[in-house]
Parts: sequence; structure tokens; C-alpha cells
Amino acid sequence: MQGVLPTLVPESRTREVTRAVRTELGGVTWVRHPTSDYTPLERLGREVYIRDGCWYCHSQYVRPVAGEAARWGPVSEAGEYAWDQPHLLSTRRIGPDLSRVGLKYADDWHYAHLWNPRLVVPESIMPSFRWLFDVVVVPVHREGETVRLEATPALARYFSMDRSKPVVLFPDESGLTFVAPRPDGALPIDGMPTLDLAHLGGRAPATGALRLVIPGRQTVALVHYLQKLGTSRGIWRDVFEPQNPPVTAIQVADGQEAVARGRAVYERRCIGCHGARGDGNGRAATFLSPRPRDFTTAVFKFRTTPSGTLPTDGDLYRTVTRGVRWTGMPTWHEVPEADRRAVIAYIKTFSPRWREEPRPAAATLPPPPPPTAELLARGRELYRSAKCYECHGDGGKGDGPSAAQLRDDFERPIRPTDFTRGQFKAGAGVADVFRALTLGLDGTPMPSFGDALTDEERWAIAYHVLSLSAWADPLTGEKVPH
Amino acid sequence: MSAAAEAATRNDALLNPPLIRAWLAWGLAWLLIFPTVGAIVSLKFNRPELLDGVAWLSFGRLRPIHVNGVIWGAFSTLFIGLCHYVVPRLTGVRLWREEGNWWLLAVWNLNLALGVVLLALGWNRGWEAGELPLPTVIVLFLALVWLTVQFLVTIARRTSPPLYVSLWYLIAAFVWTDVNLVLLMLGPDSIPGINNAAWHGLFIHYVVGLWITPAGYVLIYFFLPAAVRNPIYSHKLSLIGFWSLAFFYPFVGIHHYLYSPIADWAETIAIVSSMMLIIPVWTVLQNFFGTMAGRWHEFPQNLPAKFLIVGSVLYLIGCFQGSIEALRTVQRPTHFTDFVVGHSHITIFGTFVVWAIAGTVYVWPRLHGAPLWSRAVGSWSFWLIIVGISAMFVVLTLQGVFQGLSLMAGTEWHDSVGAIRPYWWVRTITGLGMDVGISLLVVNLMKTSLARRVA
Repeated sequence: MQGVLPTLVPESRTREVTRAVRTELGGVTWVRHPTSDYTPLERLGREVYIRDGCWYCHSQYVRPVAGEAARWGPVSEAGEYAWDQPHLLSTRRIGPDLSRVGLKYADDWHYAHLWNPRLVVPESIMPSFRWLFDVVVVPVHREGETVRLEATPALARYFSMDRSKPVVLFPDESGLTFVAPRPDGALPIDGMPTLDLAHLGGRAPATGALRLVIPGRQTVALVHYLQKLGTSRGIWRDVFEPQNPPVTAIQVADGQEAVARGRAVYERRCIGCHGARGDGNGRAATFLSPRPRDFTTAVFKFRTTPSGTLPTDGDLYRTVTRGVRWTGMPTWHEVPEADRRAVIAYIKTFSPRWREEPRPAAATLPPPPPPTAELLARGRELYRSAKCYECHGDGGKGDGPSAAQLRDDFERPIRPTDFTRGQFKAGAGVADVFRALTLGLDGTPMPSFGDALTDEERWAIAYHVLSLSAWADPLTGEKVPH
Repeated sequence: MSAAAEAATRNDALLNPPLIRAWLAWGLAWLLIFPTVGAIVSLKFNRPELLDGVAWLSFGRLRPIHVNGVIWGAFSTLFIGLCHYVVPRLTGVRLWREEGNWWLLAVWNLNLALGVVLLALGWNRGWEAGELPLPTVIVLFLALVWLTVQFLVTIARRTSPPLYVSLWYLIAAFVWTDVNLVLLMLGPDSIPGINNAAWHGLFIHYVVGLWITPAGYVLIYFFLPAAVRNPIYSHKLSLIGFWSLAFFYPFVGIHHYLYSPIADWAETIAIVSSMMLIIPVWTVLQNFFGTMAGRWHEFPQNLPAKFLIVGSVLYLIGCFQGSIEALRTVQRPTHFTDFVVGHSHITIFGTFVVWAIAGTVYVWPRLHGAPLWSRAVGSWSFWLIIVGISAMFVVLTLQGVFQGLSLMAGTEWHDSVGAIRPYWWVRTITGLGMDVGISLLVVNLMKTSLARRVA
């Protein structure tokens, strides 16, 4: 009886939701827009989510009360569930709500977390979903300077063994070695597995064999499903205030008390990836690409300070708060502000640079000019003439001619940002893009264009870069019709 | 009306003791297993590495086994077994085609076992408390339809026209649940969108309100007057209780999804009907306590009555909590927390399983023509079960309120979880205590059977 009544209301059958989209001029606006069905892979992932009971501990709706809209994100709307059958609202939160988890973490974080949640979250009580992974034990041999995996038949089942396409693996000290799956989860993975042991001082793990952990197709599907959740609301994250702290000039107290508190915070929340020594070799690191930041070098991408210098406390605070999109670094906006400040004091103990080098002042950047069609056209031209496309690609997909060869300052492969998805690591405002262009991203191949281009030229490029994700779905990069 | 008290000592020849014993024995076996699954699962909250990394031992696979197992295994098997005792007693005729129920018992148990295996393998339909794989739901449905027909025919052949209140509830429970299982067969896969949740809210509360609740009333309305040899306190109250249950229960389901995108007015109707449930609950309870009048002095020695009356006290508490839990103000902090888990445990176990235990403790010795083997062991199981479930309820409820309020105050997620972990130890310990109590009870009943055989 009472099931019938609400069903009669047309709103309960709507497929439309309000969606945050970027406009051609770089702003963000909310529009009514239909949601899309799950892809076959996402649908398979949803079946795994039901089968393994993820929904017993993770709800999928954000209520308009109890501060949930400031914790998880926008309040849920009926249209978000249009393709759900059965529904997965759930009645219990033993873990966090997942209706806004899409694109909060990169895929590799999810693989680490599913393999063993305590790798990334030491105090997690979630089960380990080991059965979602294939484990292959492969002996290793030293040949002169290099350590190689033995080409066992088992290995050949998982890789095409094409020598021209190295697949770089980063084993951890125990021999645990994550292998990133193909995007469709099928096998074999195209390429030849090769080892990077720099983080282990060049030595192979003492075990003499590596345990390769390879997500199965169902696991890939599950992660696809998780990444889809909430993305029908578009780029809501870019207008979600708690995750978008402004650039500030805050100073963190770094007395002993703050460092001790920061250490406690670090050991609960950061140690899984960044490691006890702060060198980016945490237990989860083998899963993560890009690898977690090595704090012992004190090289940071996102700064308001000149290229090559230390960031301000405010810069670190902003990165910790908003996270780094499309990587394993999530947003930490829920953590008390005092904890976020304290952890910065602790992070600064890992490198002597913080004691030895002067603290540069934040560069003062001019306010953005208003966006105009001319400025955008100019930006499009400059994007070519300044050779942005070489790495980021003509269409901004991060697939430029030199993209595949890029390495960071630590000689690890690094991928250029795909602008078409609108997931900007340093912030999604035009000033954020302008700042990255002006000051560069330390430790990466992204240089500073502060001298090579004028302010106006950099504003033009910044607006153009933002326009590449206009009306784009943040998950697929495809344009939504409007 | 004194039908139950009178019926309790008549129509002995109409019973089929071996058949009743078999149903009850299987009910007790499931009662040993499925609550224990819950206790094991609860350990994982504090020791996640326990039995970790193995699919069929993971929380997501064991939880539906615990929930469906307690509903359809522990409670329902005992209930159906006791119906075999109650119906001939009240109708004055043998159960129509009762020999078929030996087969039914076999099918019922195999179906449950199959359901457990398939759930462990990950066959899950995605509706909470309705996870059982479709083939097992179909068998369950056919089994209940058979029982419905069987009981209806038997009741139609009754020797005297008046229909005692237990039989109203029995008819209602079976007929409503047949319909509800049709909803379960179709619902998860054929209603898209947010309405799927609206229908699921309906289903899940029908299981509780239109199966377990009336089934429990069948038992207490029969066994309480029988155990204390008193007529039922008020026939009028029975009428009010029955019709208010029938009228309000169909509307409450959506209180499981308040503040969701389901229409606000539908949520409001669910809240109002949830509050109105105070009427059936308080009237039936008044009837039960009234039935005790003049018999309280025997109470300490009367184990079935102890289980029935203490189960009723827990019912008063659990249902009052349930009604206020539906209020928006209360849901703001408590929804999604163990407050709700506390509610479901005190009602399903603390009341209905406890009533089913009471009926079993009443019937079992009478089937054997022997007294209960040990009064002391009976007391131990009573106290372990009652103290266990009560403490579990208090701890889960408080912890739910604490976590909810702390989240409302903006506490970070993991900080809010870390703070409640000690309480989860108490839940595990109380759960194990209840398991020990149930085990002692089963030992007691087995000894009763053996003592009879020796004699």
C-alpha cells in the first residue's frame, strides 16, 4: 500500500539530477541533466558490490541533516537512483557513505584498500577482499646490475611479454608487488614486467621471489562502479566548500607539542602510503602510481612560492585539505583543523631543508582578467605555440607525443594531466591553473612559464585549459549534451 | 475468554508428538547455529584480521546468513513446530493432512541449508533481510502456502465456532506473509530507482510486522494463559490490538529510509503510523500482564511464563524505542548507527525468539510426559539469555546515540568509529553469553527426553 503511493509521484521516477558543470568561460554552474545508465563493466562491479555485501556497511544516500552535506557532499536526489535495481541505500554505516566516493581516490588506492584496507588506513575494520585478486609468485634473478623476474609460464599468462613495452613494477620489502590491470580488466596485460628497485636501494627483496598481486576483472569492474558513484552530479567537488580551501598565509606552530600531535595524526592517517620514515615507502606504496610523496626531499608540486623553493605552510595545508585529485591522496577536510596543522609540523621534520633553507614568501599573482571569447581564442593559439600539446595533447587529453616518455625528477614514469576531465590537482579555479603555469610543479616535467610568457598570455592559456573540460563528464571526459 | 487455558489440557489425542518434536528439534538446532554466526561476525568489528581474506567467512557473506537464519531458521522453525501443537488444541481436530509435514520439514530444512550455502557463495539479491536466492524464496513461499492452506482447512473443520485470538493471528501471519513473499520474489529486480527502496522498506517491515509479530502473538496468546492457567485478560483488547496492527503496520516501512529522496509525505505517513503502533503494542501487553493477575506468586517457578513475561517487558522497551526511532529528530543522530541494530536485536531476539523459546519449554516436557530435567539449568539459561540480550540492547543503543551525536557535532569519521570500538566487545561478550544460555537450554531439553526414555 505505502509502496504504491510514492511510486505514483512522477518525481520518484525522474532520471534528472542537478549537475555541476564547467562552462566554456571557466565558471561552474548547476543545470538539470539526465543521468546515464551503468556501462556493462560498472554493472558487473555493482553485482560484486551486492554479492560481497559492501552495502551492509556503506550507505548510499546523503541526508539533508546531521551535517552530512558538509561531510560527504551534495544531498542525494531521486534521479541519481534511476538506474539502480535493486537499490543500495543501505541502513547502516559501519564505514563511510559511498554515494560521493567517485573520483575521491584514484583507482590504485581502491586496489590497495580492497587488498588490505589496513595498508592505507591502519585502523580500518573493513575486511580484506583477497579473493578479488590473482596472486602469482615469481622468482627473481640478479643479472649483473639488474634484477629480473623469471619468465615463468604463469607470468606469461598475465603479460604479453612484449619487450618494447615495459610495465614498471615497484615491489615492497616483503616482495608484495602490485600489477595495475588493463582498464577493461582483461588479460594479458600488454608489455613486459620490469622492476624498479630504486626505493629499496636497488636490492631485490630477500624472499627471492615476488608475490604479484593482480586485480581480477571483477575487481576492475567494482572499482569502475565505485568511481561512477556520485559523478552524475558532475564536478560538485569543485564547488564543495570544505574541499576547496582558499590560498592562505597560515603559519603552523612547530613546537615540540605540535610535532608530537602531528606524529600521532601521521601514524593514524598518513603512514600507510608515506611510510614511517616519510620517504613515500609505506605499506601501500607498491599499489600507488604516482608513488606517494617522499617528504625527505621536501620537493612539493603545489606551491605559491617560486620554482625550486620550499612551499609555505598554507600551501601544504591546502594540499592536505583538498587532496590531490586522480591520485591516492584523498581530501582530508573532515579531519580537525588542528590535526591538519599539526601534521604539517611533523612532515617538516623529515627533511633538513626546512631548517637550513630560508622560507620564501608567496609570490603575489595578479587578479584574473574577465574571460572573453578573444582571450580564449588567444589561449588556444598559445597552447600550441607554447607547446603545451607536446605533453598534454592537442585536445588536452594528456596524450601528447612525448607523454609516454615523461619521467619525474626521481626517474619514475609520470603522466601529464588530462585536462578534458577537469580533475585539477592544484585547484580548479583559473587562478590555480595560472599559478601552476607561472610557478611550475616542482619535481615534475611541468616547468615554470613565469619568464617565457607574459601574465596575459598565461591567463589566456589558463582559461583555455579550463574550457577543455567545459560540459565534460568528470568520469569519462565526454561532453554532456546541453 | 478462557479458550487457551482450557484448551491446554484437552485434545491430547489430536496431537502428533513425534512430528512436533522433530520440528522443535530442528528449530533448536538452527537456534544454536544462526545467533552464533552473529557472535562470530561481531568479533570482526574489533579483530578485523580474524578469519579475514576468505570470501565465505567475510562479514558481507555471513551477515545475511545470520539475519535470514534467525528469521527463517531459528524463529520460524520453532514457530511452525509450535503451530502443530496450538492448532489441534484450539480447533479440536487433527491437523489436516499432517503426515505431509514430515516431508515439509525435510524440504524446509534442506531449503534453509541450501540458502545458507548459496549465501556463503555470494548469491545475494541485494534486499536487506530478503537476500535469500530466488529458488529458495520460491520453496519458502510454497512451503508457507501449503501451511496456510493446511491451517485454514483445519480451522474450517473446528469443532466449536468461536475462533480464539491465536488463530486470528495465525491466519493473518500466514496470509500476509504469502503475499509479502510474492513481493520479495518480484521486487528487487523489477522496480527501478528510488521506488525500489520504498518497496524494500515495505518488505523488510512486513517481515517483522506481518510475520514475526503476529507469529509471536500466536504463541504468547496461547502459551501464557496455558502456562499460568488463567483466562486471557480482555477479549476487547485482543480485538483492538489485532485491528490496529492490521491497520497501521502496512504503512511503517518507509521509516527505514527517512531523509532519502523518497517523497517527504510518504515518510511522514510512515512516521505517524510508526507512532500509532504504540496502540497495538500497549494493548496486547496490557492483555498479557493482566492475564498474570493472581498468578504472580507462581511466577518464579514457572519457566515458560518467565520467558513470556520478560519477553513482553523487552517488547515494551523495544517497541517504544522503535516508535520514537521513527521520529525525524531521533533519526538525525541515530539512523545508520547501532541504535537501530540494538532495536532489531531486542525485538527479534529479546521478544520473539524468547517467546518461541517459552513455547518450546512449555511443550517439550509435555510431549514426553516428564518434567523439565533441571530447574536450575533452566534458570541459568533464562538469566544468561535475558541478561545477555538486555545488556546488548543497552550497549548498542547508547553507543548508537554517542556515535550519532558525535557525527552531528562534526567528528571525523574514523574518530567516531574508534570511540565506539570498546562497546563492540561488550556486544560480543553478551552475544556469547546468550549462546551459552541457549546451549544449556538445549542440553536441558535433551536430558528431559533421555530421562523419559530411561524411565
